[in-house]
Amino acid sequence: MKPAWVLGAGLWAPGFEGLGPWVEGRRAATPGEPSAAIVPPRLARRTSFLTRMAAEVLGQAAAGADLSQVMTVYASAYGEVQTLAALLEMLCSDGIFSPARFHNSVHNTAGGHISIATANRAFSTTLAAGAETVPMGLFEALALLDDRGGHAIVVFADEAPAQFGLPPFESLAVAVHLAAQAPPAGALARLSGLRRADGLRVPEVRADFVHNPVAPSLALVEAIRLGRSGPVPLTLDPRVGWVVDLQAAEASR
Amino acid sequence: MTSRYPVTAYALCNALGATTAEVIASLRAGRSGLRPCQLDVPFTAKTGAVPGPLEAPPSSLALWDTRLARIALRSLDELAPRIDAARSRWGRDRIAVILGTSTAGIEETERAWGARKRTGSLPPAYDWDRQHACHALLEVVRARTGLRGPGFIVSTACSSSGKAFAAAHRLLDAGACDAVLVGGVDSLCQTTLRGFHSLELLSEGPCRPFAADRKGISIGEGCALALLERSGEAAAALLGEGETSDAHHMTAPHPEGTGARAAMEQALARAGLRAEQVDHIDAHGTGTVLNDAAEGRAIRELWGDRVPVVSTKGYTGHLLGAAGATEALFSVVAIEQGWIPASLGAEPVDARLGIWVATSLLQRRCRVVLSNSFAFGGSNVSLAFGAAA
Repeated sequence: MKPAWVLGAGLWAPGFEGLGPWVEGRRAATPGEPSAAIVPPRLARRTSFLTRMAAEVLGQAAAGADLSQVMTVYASAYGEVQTLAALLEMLCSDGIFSPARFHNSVHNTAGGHISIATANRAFSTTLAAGAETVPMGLFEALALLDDRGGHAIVVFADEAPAQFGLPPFESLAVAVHLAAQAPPAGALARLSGLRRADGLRVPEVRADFVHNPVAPSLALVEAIRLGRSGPVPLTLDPRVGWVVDLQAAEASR
Repeated sequence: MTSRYPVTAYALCNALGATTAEVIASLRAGRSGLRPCQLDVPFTAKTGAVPGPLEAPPSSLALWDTRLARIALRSLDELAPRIDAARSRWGRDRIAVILGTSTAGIEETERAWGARKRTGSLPPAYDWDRQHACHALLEVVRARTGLRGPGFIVSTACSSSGKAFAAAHRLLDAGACDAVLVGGVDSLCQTTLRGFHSLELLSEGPCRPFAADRKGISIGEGCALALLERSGEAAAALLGEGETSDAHHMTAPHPEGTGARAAMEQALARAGLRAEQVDHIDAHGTGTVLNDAAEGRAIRELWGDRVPVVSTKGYTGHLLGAAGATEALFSVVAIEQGWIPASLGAEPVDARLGIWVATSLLQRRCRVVLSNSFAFGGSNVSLAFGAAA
């Protein structure tokens, strides 16, 4: 696959309302809600938390992209778990479903609402791959740029689990804005060589995020933000290792 | 224009039969697989259930045992000799696994949630990661086949496994693999039945796509798997695909079918085809008033009534995440065997659609077939298949 250029990145997690606060370790004392400014308030009220988190980071990463044209790839291992829990409660009470909850339970809920909010009729997909959700999301985005050129934003997002017997973790959404061509104004970094690399040293992740399936995306956006170059591991499980090469700023032009 | 990749092998199971041969024989005979719903729901519906008992997985996969996994293994076992041959040819690291599902193993979670309501705790055998989550399906397929190439699940509701074919095409074009095990699987569950009922989209009787008095969908379950290879013997090949968004509404299609039309136009352009080269359209054709009107309009604008259009959902029900792959393979069958199934339940056809709905089986040489899938969130995909030679 051809390399791609990184034009922007975004992050939202409870208490960390951007990539800056995240890399500086500045956690807000009172965690807020994702503002999801790209979604009009009337529509936002009908969306889920996962969708608003995805919209928030997509907006942060957009960096001047035309949101009505950019292609989007959403990668989430578990999808709309809180909405599913609400549906299951309905199933166990009177068995009558809320239509809005039902249509918000699909894995591509964020992609659907955000395409409506931004009047974007372009390519969009939503995928899942467990511990490999981050490298596979990047794989699809890079293959897409390889094929069609242009711009793509890849969003990695998983929300804190409901009572499904999973270990607890914090919600997290991360986005990376990629372009097939180096823009004249320069890029933040250049991505290339996505490949399997089993047995790699896994990155360290804050304990409260370590079980979030998209936590491996943190190493990628931290490296982008801090202008680091080198191979970035994309999973936290060395048995299913993937790595991508990042070349920062000047070197990427 | 993108490259073309032969569909070298495939396997199907759904309400029409437990094997590919049974499914195709029922389709050709015009027999519906829709029967009264056996799930405990407080309304009347017809569903398309996979017939007969489904074999339990081997003991190594006992923790992953779900109806979804059993359905997937049914088709996977049928395809196993061909997967083994592809693995010998390309190597296990060079074969990707890309599958579509909408609900994954949700049925297990429905049961587990109910059990916890009664007993206060989740059943000990319940495991979200191995039973419900999308990657559970990926793990089952990888464990059974030994394939180690890139692997992911596309989950965009009812377009999932159509988009899996498109993603497979991209990975082959990008040189990321030499073959892809591609397809889709979904199983019947409370959530989708009750959900579509809440949207007033579920038909009481068997669904009747494109009929003037159509009343909604019937839900089915099943699996469709195929091998797409960089090269190989095959009757049909994937030529190109269109993927667009409606940007209109979460559950209703754009009334003018603009996203559907754009997906079909994109598929043709990417396959290097003109509209008049299309011999048959395997429509999404769910049987809801709005879907069929919007899709009908998109088809009418491009072809008028010159191309035979069929929905196979009257046979299988709407297979949701498995629909795209199932209908893609029905398109492959049309190319391979030279016949188009009757669009079951379409009579009397809705004359306002202004398209040619094939109400009886047509013997017809098909060089190019389009297969459409549209979904919640306005997710549209159209796949172009053509004769390989």
